[in-house]
Amino acid sequence: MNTKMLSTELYKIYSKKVIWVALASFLALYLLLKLQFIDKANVKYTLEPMRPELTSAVENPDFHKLVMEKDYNCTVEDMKPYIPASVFDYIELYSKNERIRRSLNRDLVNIINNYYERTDNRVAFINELSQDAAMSDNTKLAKAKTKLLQIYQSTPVTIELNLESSANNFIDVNHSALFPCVIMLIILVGLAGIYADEYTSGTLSPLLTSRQGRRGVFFSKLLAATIFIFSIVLFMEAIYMAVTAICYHAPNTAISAASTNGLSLTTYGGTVMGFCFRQISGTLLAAMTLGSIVMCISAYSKNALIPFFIAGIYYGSTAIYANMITFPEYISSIWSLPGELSLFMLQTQVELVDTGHFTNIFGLMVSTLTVNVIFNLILMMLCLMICYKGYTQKEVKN
Amino acid sequence: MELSVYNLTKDFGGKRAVDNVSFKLSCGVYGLLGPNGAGKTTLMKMLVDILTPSEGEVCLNGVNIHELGAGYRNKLGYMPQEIGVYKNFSARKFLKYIAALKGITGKTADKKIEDLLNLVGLKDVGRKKLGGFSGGMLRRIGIAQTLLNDPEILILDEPTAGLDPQERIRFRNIISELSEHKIVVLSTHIISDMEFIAGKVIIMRNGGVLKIDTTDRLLQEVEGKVWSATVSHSMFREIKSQYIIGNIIQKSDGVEVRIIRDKKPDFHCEPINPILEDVFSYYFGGNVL
Repeated sequence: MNTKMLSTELYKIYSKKVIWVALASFLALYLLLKLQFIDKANVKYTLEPMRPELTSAVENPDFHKLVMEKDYNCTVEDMKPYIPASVFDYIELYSKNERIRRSLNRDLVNIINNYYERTDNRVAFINELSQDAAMSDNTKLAKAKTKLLQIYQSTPVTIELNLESSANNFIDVNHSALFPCVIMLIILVGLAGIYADEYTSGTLSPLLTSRQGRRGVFFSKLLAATIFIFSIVLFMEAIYMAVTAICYHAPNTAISAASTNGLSLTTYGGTVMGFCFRQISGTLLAAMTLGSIVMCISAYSKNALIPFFIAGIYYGSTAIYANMITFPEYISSIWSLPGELSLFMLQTQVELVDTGHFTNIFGLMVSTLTVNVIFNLILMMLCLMICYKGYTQKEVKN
Repeated sequence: MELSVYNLTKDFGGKRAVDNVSFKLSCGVYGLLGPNGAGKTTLMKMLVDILTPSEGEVCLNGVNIHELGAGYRNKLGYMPQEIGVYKNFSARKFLKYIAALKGITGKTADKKIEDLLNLVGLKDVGRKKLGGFSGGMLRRIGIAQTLLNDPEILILDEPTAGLDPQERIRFRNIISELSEHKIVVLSTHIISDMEFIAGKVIIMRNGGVLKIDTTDRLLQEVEGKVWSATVSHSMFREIKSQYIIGNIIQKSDGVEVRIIRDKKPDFHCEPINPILEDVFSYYFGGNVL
């Protein structure tokens, strides 16, 4: 393999007009939808500048007790004695704009109520697990709960005040179906014909009879595909991060992922940005796996449509299934695994880390996310091996 | 250098495309002759290792070509029957890619490409997209890509199809010039091309090799078996189903026919010097070429 071969393989992929049309269309639509949020009051004006004051306020045990007694439904009037005056002075800065003032007051109430509720739920959940573990039951459920308790105890997490929506949105972009699916669609469009197009264009003979031969061509295409996958994933993720930061402000990078909506019981102990990078890593692996599947089918196909549709149906059906079913508590079942091990779940990861999800492997409780990663790694390697075998034994029959 | 074929057989499902073929080729130009479906293309594909034989093997200097791998492909130039290109590539870009596949890069590749584009008469359209090339131009690109690595073994499947007479003559001259110290196997339906450049002819029928001999000896075989006669239209209608007709020319006073027959026909005709087409007609019968 030489650089000219690699650059030409990259050119063959990147020169497909349909990729750029699809990308441009999607990005135009995405920007159109997202940029509407720039001027929305609850996005543009947040309580983030008051973080130190509010953090200090919520550490007051009496405040906590009050909110609990009010069943997490305190009003602004209830909270006034415990919140520094500077916070209300900040809100009053926008007194001339009633919309903004109302939004900030609403945020104040919701954020603090939610903060205590999520914190208390997490503590109660962990306590319940401790009690269950103390019963020393040897059932699969007991093993799963014990394993989950161990994770909680080894990964202490601090839930913090979530004072703006950007943190949720940063996680949400890889959680909602749009971005993950568009990334995979572009991967499919770019790579479906990587081998099949050589048959369609009649260029198999010069490739297979060249000095580089089947192996050289295979590895140059594989490397080009890898570069393409990485570039598309990183480009799309960078775009979404930039747009989200523009619309919702760059998130507080230190805030824990557990502080966001839906992740209060998470086993993941890192920050929002850390979780985002895990989602990006998951998307890279998912894209590589889907790329391997489509390349494998392409090596055996005479037409790019076949690998596109077969790989697309695999991704789409498992993604739809993952979004349709309710995942069982604690232990994955034979019915939930097709969804939990899907590529879409590897991209989003939210449902796999929002609480404990374990797969029972010969009595051992293994995190379902770990099983997902291993499963898809094996799938990727298997597809690449089959692709290699198919291409290096390729014949030109007609 | 010797390219040997031992008991080569290829089956596609229940159909035998090449049937137990054996021969040895040393330096020179070999024409592969046979009707459609004789197995010429299948044989050529096995010679260039893009089709695996059902039985038998192809060896270069005694070593199986599959084992030689890149060592064999390095010496090989193959021009398939259907020239495949990337329509959005320019001629130069395409040849640069093929050169890279053949291990030729950088300035060496650039010079080689320019020389070949000049040789095949496509220098002025080097930047044009291949999608806009005519069939003849694409075939010339095919010839250029075949010669990029100065191959010692040239396997050419219908190399002159779609070329105009001037281009065909140019191609024949290229092959004749290059064929010194090379093994060249070419199949073509244009028998006059074969007659001009092939030293030996391999005649194939129904997957098997009927004959391998020099063009002179093949012509000697049909010496005295080729006849020319001018007959009336009514007589022509009678004789056309009874004799092997090599050629027909409508004339004002009748039909001039070229007949291939072991014995002189029963009507007035003159013996004429045979050409390679007559050999084809002799072995395969009929007026079809």
